[in-house]
Amino acid sequence: MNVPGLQSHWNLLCAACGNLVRFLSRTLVVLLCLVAVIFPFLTALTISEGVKFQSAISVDEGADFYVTGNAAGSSIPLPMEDLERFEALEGVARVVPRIVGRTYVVDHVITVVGLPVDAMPPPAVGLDQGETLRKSGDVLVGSSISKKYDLGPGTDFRFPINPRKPFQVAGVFSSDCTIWSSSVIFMSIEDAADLFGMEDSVTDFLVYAEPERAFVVDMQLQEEEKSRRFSPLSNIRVQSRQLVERYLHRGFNTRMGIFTALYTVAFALAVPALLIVSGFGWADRRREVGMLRVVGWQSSEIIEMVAWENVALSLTGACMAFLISFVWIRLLNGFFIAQFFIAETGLVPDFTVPSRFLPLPLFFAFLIALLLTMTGSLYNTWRLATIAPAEAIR
Amino acid sequence: METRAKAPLLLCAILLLLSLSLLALDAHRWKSLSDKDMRWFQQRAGGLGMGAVAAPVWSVIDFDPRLQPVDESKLWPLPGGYSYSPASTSSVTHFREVLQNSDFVKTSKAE
Repeated sequence: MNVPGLQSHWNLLCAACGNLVRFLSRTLVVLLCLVAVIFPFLTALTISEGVKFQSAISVDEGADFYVTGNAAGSSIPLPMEDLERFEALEGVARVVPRIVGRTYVVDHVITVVGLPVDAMPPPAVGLDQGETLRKSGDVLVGSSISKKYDLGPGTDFRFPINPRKPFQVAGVFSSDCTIWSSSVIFMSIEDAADLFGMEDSVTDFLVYAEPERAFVVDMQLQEEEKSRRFSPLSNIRVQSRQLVERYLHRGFNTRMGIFTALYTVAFALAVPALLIVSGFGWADRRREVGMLRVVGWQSSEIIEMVAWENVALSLTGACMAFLISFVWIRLLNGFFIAQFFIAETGLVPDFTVPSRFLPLPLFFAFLIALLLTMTGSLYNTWRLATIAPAEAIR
Repeated sequence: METRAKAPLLLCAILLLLSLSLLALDAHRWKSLSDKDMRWFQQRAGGLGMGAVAAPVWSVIDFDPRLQPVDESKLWPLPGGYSYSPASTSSVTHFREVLQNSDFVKTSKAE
């Protein structure tokens, strides 16, 4: 490199890289600590982006309004006869009654969804095997339940909560149908009502508004909600698409959930890294800095050399963490690690783990690594580089 | 340049190039990703699932706040405070009830 202003910086970079090789054990320990700090951070952000994408589809393709019963602040079923009341509202395109419940298949918690059969017409593009619902007793099962309990098309089974009622598997959802389809069982709304003993009740009504008329429906549902407060009819809770979108934005806030726990672990692991760069190995570094001062190095040159070391370490650490995360998520489908980020996944996920790798998290990972290494080393280097060389050597 | 200095620089450059290439490949894959199955499922289900939870084990709110907007796991009378639902501590999402303005009216002033 012959550019006059850059030559000295290039030389310092080369000296820094030489130091990384000379203190190899220190370099390796710092790299391992950095990877341990950055890897969960990158993986969490990646999976979060993937889940966010699937959630956005869930909101986009969902209803405009969700109407449930409300008693003392909790959701309760509504009578089926309310269907006509909601259908009669101005601007309503259609209303779909739905039953969503939870129960067990052996020791596996599953979601049961009951819908009118005509709400699930062919073609069954999201099914890996079998066909969609045709008759009473037919069910569609999630990929996870199907694999775990060997429930393929044609298999007969009964639920423990209602052993009298027989069911038969008609089809199996594709493992690419979102994470929530893996542990779900679809059936007709009549079968779901029979299973849960709900007779003529449903857990919610999905209200779809005519194009550009959601505002009108919203106003009318609010009026309906107010008018029911002091009437014999059940109170209702109305959740609009806007409210659901607010859930979506708030739910993916990085301050929530695992991030708090992850950062606690991350910074706990960062402590050894800081100790390494700021403490261990500094006896040699102290003597070396002293010798460099003796042979005429400026304090600023010594500090710049250490800064270059940190840049190289941080860049290598961030890239290594990114590559490990990529291989683990994409090639191994989040084997073992996915369960820490997506609850109820198990050791081997039975669905494609949602993920999206973006450049910004990688850049942030590099910045975090740089911050950690710089915090640990720059002050010590500055202190050593500014005392008398004889003092530093001693 | 010292031979010793070449190795870390070379390693760093290779890792950076590899990472950037994979990022570019992933962005390309994302553009061509088919969400047909997902949309089909959600159209049929009327919108089911929002959080990073595969099944509603502890609290339904972390699975889908549309089904139950209240976090039941916080209502349990556990001595020494409440225990967080595994869904809210082991996933990358966590939903909280959206508080709405009520028509609360104070009709008299305490003496």
